[in-house]
Amino acid sequence: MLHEFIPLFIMMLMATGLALSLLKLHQLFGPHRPNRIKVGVYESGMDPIGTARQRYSVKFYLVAMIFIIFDVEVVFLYPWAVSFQRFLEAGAGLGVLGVVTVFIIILAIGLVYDIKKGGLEFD
Amino acid sequence: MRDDAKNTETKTSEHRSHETLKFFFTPVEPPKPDQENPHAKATTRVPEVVAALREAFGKAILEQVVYAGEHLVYVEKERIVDVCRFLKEEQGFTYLVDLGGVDRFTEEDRFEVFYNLVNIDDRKRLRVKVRVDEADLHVPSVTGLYRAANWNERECYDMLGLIFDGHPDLRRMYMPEDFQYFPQRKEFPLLGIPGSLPLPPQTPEGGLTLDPFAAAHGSKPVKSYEEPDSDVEEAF
Amino acid sequence: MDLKEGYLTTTVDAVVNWARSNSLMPMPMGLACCAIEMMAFAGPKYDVARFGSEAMRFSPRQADLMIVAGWCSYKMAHAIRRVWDQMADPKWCIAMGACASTGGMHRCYGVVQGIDNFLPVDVYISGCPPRPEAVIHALMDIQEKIRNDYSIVQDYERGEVRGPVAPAAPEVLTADGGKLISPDVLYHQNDA
Repeated sequence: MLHEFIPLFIMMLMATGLALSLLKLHQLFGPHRPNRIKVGVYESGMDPIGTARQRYSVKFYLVAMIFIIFDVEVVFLYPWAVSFQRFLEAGAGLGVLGVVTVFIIILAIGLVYDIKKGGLEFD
Repeated sequence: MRDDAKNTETKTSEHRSHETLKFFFTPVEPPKPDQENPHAKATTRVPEVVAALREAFGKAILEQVVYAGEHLVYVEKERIVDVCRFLKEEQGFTYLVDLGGVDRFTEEDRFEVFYNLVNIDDRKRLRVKVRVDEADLHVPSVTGLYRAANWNERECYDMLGLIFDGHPDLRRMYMPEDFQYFPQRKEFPLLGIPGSLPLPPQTPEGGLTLDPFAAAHGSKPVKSYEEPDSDVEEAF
Repeated sequence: MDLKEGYLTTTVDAVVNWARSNSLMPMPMGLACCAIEMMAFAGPKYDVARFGSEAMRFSPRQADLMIVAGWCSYKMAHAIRRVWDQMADPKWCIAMGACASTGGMHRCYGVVQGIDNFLPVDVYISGCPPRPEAVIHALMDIQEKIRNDYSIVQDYERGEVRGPVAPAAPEVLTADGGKLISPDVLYHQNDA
């Protein structure tokens, strides 16, 4: 089964190889003439004020976290949806539907908890 | 330009006679101070305000001038804040349009500071002026009454050197903080004092260029591939 | 044998110069009214994207052509010089308009009388403001300049490295005798 993924591995190798070899070629063949201002920080021609690492609001992290959870749920639902037809033909359609409904209900309870706690309020 | 056949031909001598441009000049008599100015609006005719000022302050109002329909009042320097407070609170001149300085370049009372005040509700305009002598450049600040005066007084300080007492933040506005001269005084040369305002260096790590006409004096800034080497090492 | 004129060098130069000249990324230093004409020069009618200058890169790290459009005050000159230094080699500069070339209509103490007092300019454009076609002409001039460049030698050989040539301090002379005086005298000439 693994030999079906060989083209994909070759493609990944070529992409990484190209990027790394371009960087290496620049390091070997490119002219290097740094001076203090050329390698310095860019802040529209002024001396930099403050640090680049600022604290930012936690709401971005919350939205990302919730997205991951529900994205994984959707990843589980896709193969179920694709193979539901075969379950129906085998006669076990109702049981399988029940199982996946329980799965969704558990995650929906989590979603309701998140809404009540204000995790989806962006402002 | 593209090398057309048109361009490479030598021009035949087609002389056009030089036309003398006609210059039309309409001689106009300068307006006399007491003449009716047809362009003056009713907003600048405020004799009742000037009368109220004279009644309230008497000696502090030094002079009153009416020119082209506009009223101008000269006030003693020390009483300007009281006069402005009277105008703002009792006469309703709540809007300070402009504040600026004038360098008259006379022996006595060299500088003037003018205040353009407007009463929006009653549609009146008045100009108040204060004369400042070069020996004593301090003027009381009206920032407490009109917040808009803040930056205008800073500009006045930067350009003419007049110091406003009571100003919360009197520092230079347009010129760099350590500039030593006052540019809008009459003796400041138009092109500045060479060396007072430095230019950036000619190479990335050089010293500042003090000559404002470096190119005219034969200096060519260094091309990027001919810059002197630096001791900084590149990270990658 | 001159390295610049060798067969291999000129062939590689031809390829490299073709690539560089047809992909100039302008860094628009639009300071004043000339910036409007620069926007027109990048707009659909006088399209500059057909010359390869598709994207106006506002970051010096991603650009190789700086178009200084508008007059430059003494305070802004320091920021412009720093942005120029932060651009990577090879880089070229266009002085667009009368004010960037010579100070233009602003003949006063606050405006730099020509950016070639502190920047190495390659092409000057006259006009107030110059028409977008004039700016395109300047871009084509720069393309021609790049095509005639010795890029390989420029990149790898140091050649003669020049230091700054400007005098350290301005020399102010009296009008009649040619005697050196201190610049301060100009300011106090009306003192009693």
